[in-house]
Amino acid sequence: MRLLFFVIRRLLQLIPVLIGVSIITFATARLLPGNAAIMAAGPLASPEDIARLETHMKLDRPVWEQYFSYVNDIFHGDFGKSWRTGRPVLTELMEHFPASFELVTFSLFIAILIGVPLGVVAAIRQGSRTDQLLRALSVGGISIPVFWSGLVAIFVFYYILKIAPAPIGRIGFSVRPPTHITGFYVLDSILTLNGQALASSLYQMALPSLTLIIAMMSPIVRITRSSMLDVLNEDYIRSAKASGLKRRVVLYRDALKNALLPVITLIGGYYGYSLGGEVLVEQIFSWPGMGRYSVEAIFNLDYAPVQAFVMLTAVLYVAIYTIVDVLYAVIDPRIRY
Amino acid sequence: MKRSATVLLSLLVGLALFAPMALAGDFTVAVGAELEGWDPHTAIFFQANEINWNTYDRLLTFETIPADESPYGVAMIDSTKLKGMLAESWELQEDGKVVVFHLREGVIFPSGNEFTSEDVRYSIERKWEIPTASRWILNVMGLSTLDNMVVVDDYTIKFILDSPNAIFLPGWAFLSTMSIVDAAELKKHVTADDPYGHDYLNLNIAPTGPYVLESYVPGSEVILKAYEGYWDGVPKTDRIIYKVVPEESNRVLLLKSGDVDMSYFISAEQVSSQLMDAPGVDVFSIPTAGSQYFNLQTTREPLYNVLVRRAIAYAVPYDDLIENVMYGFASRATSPVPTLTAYHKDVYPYDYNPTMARDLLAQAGYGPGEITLTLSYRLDNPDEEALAIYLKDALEDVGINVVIDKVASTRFSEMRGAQDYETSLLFWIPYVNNPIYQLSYGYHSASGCCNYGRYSSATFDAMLDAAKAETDPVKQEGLVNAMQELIAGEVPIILLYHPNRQITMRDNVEGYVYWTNFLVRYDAITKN
Repeated sequence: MRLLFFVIRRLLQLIPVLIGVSIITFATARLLPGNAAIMAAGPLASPEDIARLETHMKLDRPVWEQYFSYVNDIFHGDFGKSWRTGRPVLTELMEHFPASFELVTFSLFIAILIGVPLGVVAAIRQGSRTDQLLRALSVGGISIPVFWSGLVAIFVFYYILKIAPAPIGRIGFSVRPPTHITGFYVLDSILTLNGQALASSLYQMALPSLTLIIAMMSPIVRITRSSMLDVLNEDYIRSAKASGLKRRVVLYRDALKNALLPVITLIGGYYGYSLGGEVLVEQIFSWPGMGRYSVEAIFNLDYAPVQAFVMLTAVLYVAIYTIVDVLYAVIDPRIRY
Repeated sequence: MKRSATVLLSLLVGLALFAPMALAGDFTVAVGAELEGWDPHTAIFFQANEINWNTYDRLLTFETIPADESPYGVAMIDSTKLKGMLAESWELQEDGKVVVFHLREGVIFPSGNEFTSEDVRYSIERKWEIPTASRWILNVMGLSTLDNMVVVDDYTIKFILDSPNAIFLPGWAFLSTMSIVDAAELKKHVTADDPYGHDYLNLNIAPTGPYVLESYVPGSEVILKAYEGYWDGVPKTDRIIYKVVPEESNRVLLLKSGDVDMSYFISAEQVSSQLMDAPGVDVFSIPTAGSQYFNLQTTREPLYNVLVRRAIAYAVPYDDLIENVMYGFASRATSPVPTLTAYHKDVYPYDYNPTMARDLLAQAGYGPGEITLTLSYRLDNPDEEALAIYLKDALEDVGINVVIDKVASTRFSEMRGAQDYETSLLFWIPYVNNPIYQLSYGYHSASGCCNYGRYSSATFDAMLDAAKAETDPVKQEGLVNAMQELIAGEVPIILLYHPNRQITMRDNVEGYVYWTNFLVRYDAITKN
């Protein structure tokens, strides 16, 4: 019950966060060099065309008036239109969000599944050759830039070895996307029993998630390892071992649970960042995700998508950190809200 | 348990049925940018224009020069020979001031509606009234008010121009923004907030051409399907699949491996190193009417002085630039009117001659190191980056200091609009391959768009206005030649080169026709 109130209080914090975020984004977008109306009018427009467009885009009004007009529209469900595509921003974001979410969630899940046990192993076997190897690999994984590993992976596995699919996005050439239920192709294929779409979307996701997994796993291995090492040196672990408890029990029930707290924090932050931030992976693998969408918008001075994207990211971060805090309470009985 | 067994079974079946290649009647194109914003009367992005090029027809088009008669090994349009499209014939009256189109009868659009003059009238009205449409193009073509468009009957429509205009007829053939939409179909989707269906048409097509929209996955792909009832015959390619692949190196790999049939906007460097000798890939390098400009701000010292401008023109290492920046895929510019355009004359006297450059500077009263110029260019353009470095070197060699100013493209657009830079680099390609159109945009003092150096000459303006109205081709050519010579002497813009356009496709592609606006029509294309 107390936990429920805690969650509600946290979600209510969203309101001041969104207000602050929206004001800051609104102001900074308009401080960027360039004139959105000139961009939207195109290279052949006359000064009259540009002026007409400025009035249409409300750019000739004072900034505070534009902001209140914007907030008013939001309360009517209108997050504005992208001037490049002419489509409502909310629609576009909701189209691009599942692509990022599916890829990032899938990759992070596997990265945790592999990374945490490897970190534990490295901690237990501290100083051994296994540990040294794992540490070297994780440094390598952190240092290798994602655009490099992605492009190399495509070149080797798609072009030379021909075992990976063409980097054309979420589904293969002549396969239709599955009927839209959630927007997550894998889930929708399962729900609609669409074997071809399921096979194709998993196949397409293989290389981009491989690239992401390598990048995500490495910091997870390191932090799990160092956190485990700290915990393993604690007195209560020594006492538990001295009491004769089985090693595996000590490890997993006592040590790991306590070691997980910083790991969860890292993963939470990483998750929030990746959902909107994996622009390079999305670019390289032609993935129609949120990151690439918002970067394109920024380069074109398309204010509405940028503002909506930042607010969505704020919502996601608040949600994720709330879940992280709840997990803290679940794992650590001393934490009470 | 049963559920997961079903899933597993369908997965296995899916893997078995899994066809990694596109179907036989499909033509796949890998494109680098997003494909949205389809309203043809407002579309500004290339890919959107190409989708329109295939789903909408225009009144006019051009005849084709077949590949074996073309100097570049690939079929291309003959921009001197107009051909009827939705207009069956046309006539000029009152010495060219009035143009009457006789429209093709019996054309049925995919909606089932019949083509009439209302479709033409409505399309032009949309161009005029929608805020984001560029009404200015109609003005440039000679239409100063909507009242000068007169519907005579269901199959005849008349345009009254301010004065005979050499750009009017070619504009209907060249410009995707002059597309005719299916008025009856579009009017069903009009609302009070959106009186011309602009929002609807941005996301949907009201087709009048050989293809209709089959499917669209935002940010990812567009599939067009052939319309069997197209008036000019069943399109040869059944489906066109546009796939968005933003990373250029991936587009190259897809083309090399044969997973796509065509791709464009691949940089000179990649074409040269990856595609020229790749088996299964054809590369055609075709001169364009585009120009790489080195603009000089003529309203301020020291560039106000024509001797200084000429000195700079002599300081540029033209051949080096073509070899090292464009990998040989460019040709020398010899006139402000591109080589491929009618009435072109070799008038540009400047060649790489640093000694001459230093002499001219001395004549103008400037010693070495006394002039410093700022060179602005867009930071996301690798070609211009390389150019800037070469130009800086070359100018410093003759005693002019250069300050490099890399500018975000948004800011560059703003600067261009305000014409607020000292020197800048810009690539421009005219939509209409007509000398008067090009000279007007680049050098007329009232030009809103492309007169980047704010060049202003009453003599030039008078000649241009006369040429626009001139109906005698001999006199017109005389005026155009005189203008070219004037500009060559004044050199407000230094013409670095005309870049070629590299067309890259699989070698089994047939029926490709090169348009100078680079748009591709797929109804005549097939794969062997």
